[in-house]
Amino acid sequence: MPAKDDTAAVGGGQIAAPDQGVPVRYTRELLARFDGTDPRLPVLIAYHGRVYDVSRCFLWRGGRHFWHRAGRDLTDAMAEAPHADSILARAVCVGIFDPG
Amino acid sequence: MKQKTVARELIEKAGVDIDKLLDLLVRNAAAELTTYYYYTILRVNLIGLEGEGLKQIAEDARIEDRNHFEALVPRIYELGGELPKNMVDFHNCSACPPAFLPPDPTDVKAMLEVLLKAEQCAVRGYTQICNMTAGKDHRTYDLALAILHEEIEHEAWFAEFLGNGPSGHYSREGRPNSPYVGKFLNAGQG
Repeated sequence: MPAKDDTAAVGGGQIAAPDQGVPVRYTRELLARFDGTDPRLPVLIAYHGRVYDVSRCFLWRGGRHFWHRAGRDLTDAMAEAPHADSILARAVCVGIFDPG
Repeated sequence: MKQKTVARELIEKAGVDIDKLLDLLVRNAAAELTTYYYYTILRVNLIGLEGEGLKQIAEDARIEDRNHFEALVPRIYELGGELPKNMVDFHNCSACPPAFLPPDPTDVKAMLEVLLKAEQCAVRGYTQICNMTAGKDHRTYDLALAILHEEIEHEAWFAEFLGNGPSGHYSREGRPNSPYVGKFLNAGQG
């Protein structure tokens, strides 16, 4: 299970249990593998220190969301988005982002 | 190679990222056309005592969304963009998720929620385009603002049915569709 983290996460802050061997703490390099190019892997993004699985989101098909790419920290990109970060409540928080 | 127009040159000079703008315009055009398609299915299934009451506003929103697609396409090409050659690609690049028929098509509340979410997504999309083009690309701004006016009205119609309080908006009630976007539909056709 992940280390205890008191940081409030979007969508209630519950981190899903590790699923199918997916690690919970993601470095920048590890997160980059989940960019949607490998159909065997979930599509993940990082936001404010948390990692979210957006595989089931239509608007993240193929790891692309408009001009954004999955497998990256998109914290700064949220400012220009036409939606609030509450949209991430629809995604599952699967881990912690540890950029190192 | 197609020559860059002065209009495009000036928009770039004003600081608009045209590639991003075109990406948004194409994705929102896809959202409009796919919504037109999905709303056709929703409208067909709006039957019964509750459903029939919704049918006309679903139809008005459907027709106006198609008009938005028609109005967006010339601007995409004016700016040097193009639509995807493959309809599947076009569907899949939509700025909004598909407005699928709910599992229980007799559930009018579920139908309304699908319709409302689609309109809210559109409101976000055109607000983003307006923000990107305000004071920089007057023609795209004017078009996006006209569409935004109509999308906000659609949202209000459906939200009111869901009991979200009075919207202050009237439905078309037999008046012509696309009161804001209409000026773009026949323009440039001689």
